[in-house]
Amino acid sequence: MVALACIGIIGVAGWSAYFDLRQTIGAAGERNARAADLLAIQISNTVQNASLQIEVQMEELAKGWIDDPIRFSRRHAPMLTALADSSDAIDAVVAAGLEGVVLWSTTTRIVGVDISDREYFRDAMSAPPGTMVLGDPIISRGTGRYLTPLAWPVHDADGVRKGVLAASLDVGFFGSFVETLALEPGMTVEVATNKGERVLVASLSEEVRAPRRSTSEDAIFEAMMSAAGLGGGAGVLAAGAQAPNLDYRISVTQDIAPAISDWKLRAIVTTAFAISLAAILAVSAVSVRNRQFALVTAMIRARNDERAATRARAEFEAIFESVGDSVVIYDADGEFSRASRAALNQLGAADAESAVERLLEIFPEIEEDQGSPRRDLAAREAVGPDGVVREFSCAVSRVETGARLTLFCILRDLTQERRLERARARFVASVNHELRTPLTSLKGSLDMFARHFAAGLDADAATLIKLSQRNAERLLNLVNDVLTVQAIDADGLSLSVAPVKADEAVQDAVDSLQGYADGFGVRLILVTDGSHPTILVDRDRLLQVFANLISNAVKFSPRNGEVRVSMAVEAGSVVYEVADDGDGIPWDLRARLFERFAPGRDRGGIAGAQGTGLGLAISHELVTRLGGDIGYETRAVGEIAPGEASGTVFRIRFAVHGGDDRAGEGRQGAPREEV
Amino acid sequence: MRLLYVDDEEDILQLARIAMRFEEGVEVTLALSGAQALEILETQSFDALVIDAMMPAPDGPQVVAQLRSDPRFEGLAIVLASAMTHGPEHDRIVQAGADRVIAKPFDLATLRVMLDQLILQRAGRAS
Repeated sequence: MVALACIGIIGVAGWSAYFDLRQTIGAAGERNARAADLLAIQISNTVQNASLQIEVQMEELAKGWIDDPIRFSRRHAPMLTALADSSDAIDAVVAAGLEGVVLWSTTTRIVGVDISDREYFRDAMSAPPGTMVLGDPIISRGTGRYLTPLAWPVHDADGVRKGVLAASLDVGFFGSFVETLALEPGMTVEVATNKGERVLVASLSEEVRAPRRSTSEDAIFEAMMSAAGLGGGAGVLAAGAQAPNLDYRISVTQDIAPAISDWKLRAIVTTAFAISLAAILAVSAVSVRNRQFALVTAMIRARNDERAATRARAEFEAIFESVGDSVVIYDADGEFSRASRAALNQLGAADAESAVERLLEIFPEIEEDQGSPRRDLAAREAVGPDGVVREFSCAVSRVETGARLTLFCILRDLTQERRLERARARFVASVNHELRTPLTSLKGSLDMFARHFAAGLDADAATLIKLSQRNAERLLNLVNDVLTVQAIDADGLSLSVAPVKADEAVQDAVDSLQGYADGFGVRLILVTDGSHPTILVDRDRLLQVFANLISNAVKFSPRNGEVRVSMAVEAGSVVYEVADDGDGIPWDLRARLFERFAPGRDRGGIAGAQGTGLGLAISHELVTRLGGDIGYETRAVGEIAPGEASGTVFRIRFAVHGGDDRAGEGRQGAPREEV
Repeated sequence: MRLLYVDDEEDILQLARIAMRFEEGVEVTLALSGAQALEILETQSFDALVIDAMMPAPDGPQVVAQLRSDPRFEGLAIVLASAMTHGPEHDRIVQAGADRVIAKPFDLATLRVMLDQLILQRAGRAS
């Protein structure tokens, strides 16, 4: 399409250029023909006028025609001079006798000269009266100038020939006419006799005739010339005219190249314009095409995007519907609400709107802005769709966009979870009770037997009692440890934090472990700085920590060794220490000492030395939860210089809460000998 | 000191009875249930009560709560023995109103000392 249009534009441009050329050439031809005609008429008229003036004088001249030059001159000179002067066309006048001798002339130099050999003279002599002879151009014998002779035969009234009167037309005569033609470049005006003798050739400049260099432009031009049927090669426009009543032919020729120089310019401009137009058309067509392509691409992309959006929406719907969680999304303005199937079921709602209503009933504070974009609302009981009281929790995310508030609520039915929690708690309580009750009886019986009835027993029987006591203790510790760990993991470790008398607590712990220490043959000593501070802890938990640390120290002490428990106030803190003279903690156990089920220390094969591996982990956990810290120092066998004592000190620190934290007299709690 | 010891475990009661045999001046009465304890408390007077928490109703905390709401038992020192060391049940036991909650198993030898202290505190508060 576009290519056709481009070819069309160039074709039209070529066609118009061709017509323009034809017209330009035609116009130039017409102009040249008119110029030739005009020149022919002017020359003819002027010559005839001159001839007429001569002929008017002819009779008078013939009457007094004398062959003696002096007399002739005296008689006719004024009249002939006037004649020469009266006509612009006539340059010089010559009168010659029958023999051809010049009798008088405006050019005095040729008087007496014989002109009988001149063709114009002979023609005039033989011409009938009243005619004019136009001769071929000659070189003047008097002046050497190039002249065109005019000659008239002179007869008297009786028709007797008397001589010839001749005049000459100068080149300048023709030139004055040519000037009026306003010659154009490449134009040549030629005046010639019918015999072909040139009277005048006039042109503007020689340069125009200079051979032209052949260029590609000229090649095109030549091609167009031949196409226009104007013939190549020649490249000349020619026009001619016959001068009326005169033996002259006027021809005007013109080189085509200069004649059509304007056309060439126009043709170049037209061609350039056409090419530009075609180029613009082609470029805009390409750009339209590109724009169309871009539009189509955008449409395809938009459709793909729409498909992706639809797919994403469908996926979202599917996920939203099938998600196990109860999700309610709504707009505070009530413009939009969605509820997942699980949410509808849990809230017993038929649609999203009523789900939102129900949700607001259960959690009236849901839309409150608490400053946080996401918050968990406290669990709330509500009657479920089945009439059973259920427990719900709700996580709310607020999304505020401008004045618009959207809420994302994830509802959780805690009923089942709580039921499980309660069941587990019941199970733990039951295990606790069922294990502890027989242990209480067992341990109590053994303790009492050992205390009140062991005297006088066989040594082996006494050993059996002690062995039973120790293992009952061990079993009890195991139950305690496992239950404590379970409570920590369930985050159900309840801490009854209250002000506790620091010295009394440790005294109680030491008292309750005396029997255990006795079983190992270890002395258990308590030393305090005499102060009576209070600390904020859970008393039972603190005693549990002491039990762990002291029983460990006892287990790892050598027989007849000593475990020193102390309490002192240091820089606002109550510091408890449990020190033993055991072998110390080997370096490879230290990194994981407070970890659960950490490898225990080997107590040289003595039964009951191994703990549950939970004691230190529990102690660490409890002390940390109670806001204190726990650490140790140990000097292990193999790391100490000879002569130094090995041993371990565990240190617990709690901030002083109140009471009397001034150190009093050091007092040493006497170990109770109960065996 | 007149002591009422309440536990649904026969073995524990026997243990308590024997242990108190060695404590001078302690006169112990045993009860196998909360209901029986309340019945005995209606007719006899005691200085101290040791009661197990986990029993068929009325359990330890319930009995304690009932006694604490009765001005007649204002001078009675009460110890609740519990196998519970934590959890919601433990909280209920602690809040029941006993003078001391002790964890099972406990040393019966130290019980006498504790009871004497509590009786003294009660007497001091009452006067």
